[in-house]
Amino acid sequence: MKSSEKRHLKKLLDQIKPQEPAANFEQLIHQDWQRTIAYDESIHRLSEVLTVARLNPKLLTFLVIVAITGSVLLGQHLMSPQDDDLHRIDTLSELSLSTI
Amino acid sequence: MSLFPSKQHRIEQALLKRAVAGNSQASKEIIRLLSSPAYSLAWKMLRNKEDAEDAVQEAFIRLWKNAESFSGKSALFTYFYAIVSNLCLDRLKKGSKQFFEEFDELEHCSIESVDFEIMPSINPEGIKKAMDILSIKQRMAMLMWAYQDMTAEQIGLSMGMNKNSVDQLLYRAKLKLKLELEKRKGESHEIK
Repeated sequence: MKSSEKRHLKKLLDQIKPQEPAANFEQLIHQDWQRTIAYDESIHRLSEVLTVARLNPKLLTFLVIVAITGSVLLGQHLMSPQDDDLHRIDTLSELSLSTI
Repeated sequence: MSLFPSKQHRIEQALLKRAVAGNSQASKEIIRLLSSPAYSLAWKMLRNKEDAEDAVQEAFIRLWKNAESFSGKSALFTYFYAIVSNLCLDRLKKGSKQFFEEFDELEHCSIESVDFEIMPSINPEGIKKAMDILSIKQRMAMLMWAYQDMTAEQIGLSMGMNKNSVDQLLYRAKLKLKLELEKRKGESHEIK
């Protein structure tokens, strides 16, 4: 009885015509799907990296040391030409002062 | 709902898995299958185009994100309708204090079956107007009951009511709708 009651009510309600959705509605949903998949993939990759790091602590330590050493060397390399430049500017200003 | 997935449900489950794995064709197929009936249900619940579109879009995002929780024990339609209904219910609760406050005359009355089979041919606009006289709670309970395989307990869980209250709410909603439809039928005959 209940199932036929439900069926008849559904049939009745199915006759109600809703307002039409936007023409590109399905396309918008598909774009949402693309965004969700892309986001999930990036999260998945990050979690894979974290898992590898957790499983290989020695490798992680090695990579951290390499990164720190690399940063220090790069910093020194970037700083040294600036020192030279400053020295050159000092010399030039001294020269110009002596000329005056 | 059966204990084990049927063949059709397994096909839907596989299709959903493919879509979530990044298969564009599978995602398009799921969107084509579900978007139109889901929008229709959301619109009947919310009565607003933009709100219904937002609810369906959000429901799809939830579907992609929680695809693994679809076990295939029910049809994908039923599973998706449940997501859509819950989102619509949340919107109605947020948007209207009235939802909790409205009085539904829930004093006990004996529940009988309300048959809509003998309903005369009423135009869709008439049915829509008849639905408008129902309270938000009555409309929601009726749509959840009619479009999903939800029992009164399950509807009660979603709406924060007990089973008996849902039974009473549904019975009154159906009765009210039927009386309104009959009244409209009478009016249209008088006009003729």
